[in-house]
Amino acid sequence: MTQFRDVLGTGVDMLRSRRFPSALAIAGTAGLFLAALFLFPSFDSYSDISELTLFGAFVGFVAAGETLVILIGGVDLSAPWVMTTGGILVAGWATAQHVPTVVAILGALGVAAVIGAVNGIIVAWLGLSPVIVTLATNGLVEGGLLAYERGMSPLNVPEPITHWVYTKVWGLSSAGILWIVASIILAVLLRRSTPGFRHLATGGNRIAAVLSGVPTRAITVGAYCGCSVLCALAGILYSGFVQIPYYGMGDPFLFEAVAGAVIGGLAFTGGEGSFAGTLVGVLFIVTLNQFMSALNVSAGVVDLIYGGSILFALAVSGPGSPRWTSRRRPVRRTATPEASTLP
Amino acid sequence: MTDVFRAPTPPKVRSVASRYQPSYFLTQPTIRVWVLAVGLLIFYFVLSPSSINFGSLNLLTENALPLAWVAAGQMAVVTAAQIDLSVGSVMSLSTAIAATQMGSSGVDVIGTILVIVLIGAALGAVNGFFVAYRGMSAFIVTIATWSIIDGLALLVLPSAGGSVPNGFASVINTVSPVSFGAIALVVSLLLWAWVRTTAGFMRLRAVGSSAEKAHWAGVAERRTTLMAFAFSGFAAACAGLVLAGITQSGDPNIGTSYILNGLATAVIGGVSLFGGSGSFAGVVGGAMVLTVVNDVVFALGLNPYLEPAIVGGILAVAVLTTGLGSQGVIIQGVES
Repeated sequence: MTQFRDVLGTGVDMLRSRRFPSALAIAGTAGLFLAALFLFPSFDSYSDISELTLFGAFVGFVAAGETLVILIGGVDLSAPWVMTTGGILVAGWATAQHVPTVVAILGALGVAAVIGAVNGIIVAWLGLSPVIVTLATNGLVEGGLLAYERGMSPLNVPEPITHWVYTKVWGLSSAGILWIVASIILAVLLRRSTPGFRHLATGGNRIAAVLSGVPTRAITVGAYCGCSVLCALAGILYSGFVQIPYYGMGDPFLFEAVAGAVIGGLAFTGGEGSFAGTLVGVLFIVTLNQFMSALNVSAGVVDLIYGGSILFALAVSGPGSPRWTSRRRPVRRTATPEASTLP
Repeated sequence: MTDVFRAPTPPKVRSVASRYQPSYFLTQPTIRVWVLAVGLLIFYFVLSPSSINFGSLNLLTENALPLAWVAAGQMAVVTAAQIDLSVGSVMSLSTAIAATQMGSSGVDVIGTILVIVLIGAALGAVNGFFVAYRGMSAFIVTIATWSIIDGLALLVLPSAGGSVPNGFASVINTVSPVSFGAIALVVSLLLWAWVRTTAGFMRLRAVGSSAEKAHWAGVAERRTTLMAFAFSGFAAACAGLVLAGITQSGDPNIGTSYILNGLATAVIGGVSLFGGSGSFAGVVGGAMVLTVVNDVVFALGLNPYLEPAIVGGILAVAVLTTGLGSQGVIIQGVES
């Protein structure tokens, strides 16, 4: 009897552990894909995997950036317009002003890095809430971009980018391969390098990190910088896909990216999560999108299923209430002690 | 030699603004935001002298009302050190229900209004349940419910349209001699004058300052957080009803712009994002600021796309000048 209970307890613990959402997302993605293969004759695995990785790349780079920031307990709401900025600046510079494409891309990524640095510096040195800081920068970037381009309608994306985005390698889209490789590199760096470990420490317990000599402010600025650069990269790739970038093209991506990251097991409290989880979560979101567009359900049902899957992922992996509020349920995770209770 | 016995020079004390100095008033968020609002209003009147009349003030309050109400809900949640991103979808849902289900008889109208505000409060309470009793992050819970409620709104009303009864619309759209917005704002300010003295609001502030300390002091911190979210849903539903009256129709996407603008209104109105302090009087000032900025952009003939940048700029200044020093530093050299 005790043994049975132990086994049952271990099973429940596994379901509740942080690893579960990734497993859930993998199972969900595979299940949806197989279901699509059987349900829709038009679905053919080869071209659809390529399409999934292509759409995954757009959402995935934004999600990787958000993962970087959420891991240190922040969030970046300026992602949509940084993304739009990336696409439009490259198109404007390369097509209208005949700047070499590579220079235009590097320039746009540089602009994004500056925006991210501003976010990071304000958050790190002034101790302001990242929600409101990045919300304000989102508006400022929007206005700044429109003022810079004088509200003109954007131009065509340079041909090499479009060509590259539509290239397929081994049945996968090239953008998708870039995304998967980048995610794996980031995942390894996070777990196996000193900066990565400092990143996790900053998110886990900032005060302990400071007292152990981690340069938390530099880490914070680096995270916001990296997030903006990845978002701008996503914007450049997406503009290559749509060929004519438009204002506000980044708006739907923030939601999908955050949803994917959370389904992949990223904790909003910081310090817990992985790029591999985010990758799987984004694949799930993208497969879900394709599945629902194949099912031809109404937009309302799509939204319901989206929100429902986030809530479900949260419910099975939720950290639970902190120890001092818990009355009935056993305590699983101790809350980070409130900073103000320290001496 | 006598130097040794010289009395130490007293340390320089930085003068603190006392209550009786004019500079004291500028440190009060509520007063500061109202100074900004009145200043912007004067600037607007200088730009377009033709609109110096009672009617334009009435119109201003009418436009500020939904923003002020949705921000009031956000204020309650932010005072409890949480955030509610689902308010926009609750607004959309209530315009959708109002535009499709509201009958023309008086009893029908009042009944539908009651049902809508109850639905809003219930949806807010669901958010509050997940946040307070399940320990989930408010940010991500309300993102998820935002999507779900948006889906419900789209199922009720797939695209903008429908209509509300004429009687309901004409009450909401009253602009002379005094607009519905002005009356509603004054009534809610009077309510606020009472609410701010109640024990419930003090408990809310206690939970926002430190949920754990409030818990040990005997405050039912989870119930308080849940009530804050329920109020936020209620306020968003009320704001949605006003929008349905103003536009005389429903729109399943109308609330989207109010999510961020509502939060911005609360922050410009002096509500601290770290929780524990906020005033509805300031929030009304914040709503006035955003509404007048809208008019100023129009009067200056600027590209309307520049409005987010201006709002973002005001937001940045408001945050930079109010949030500093309160929570930035905890131990020497350790940022929070």
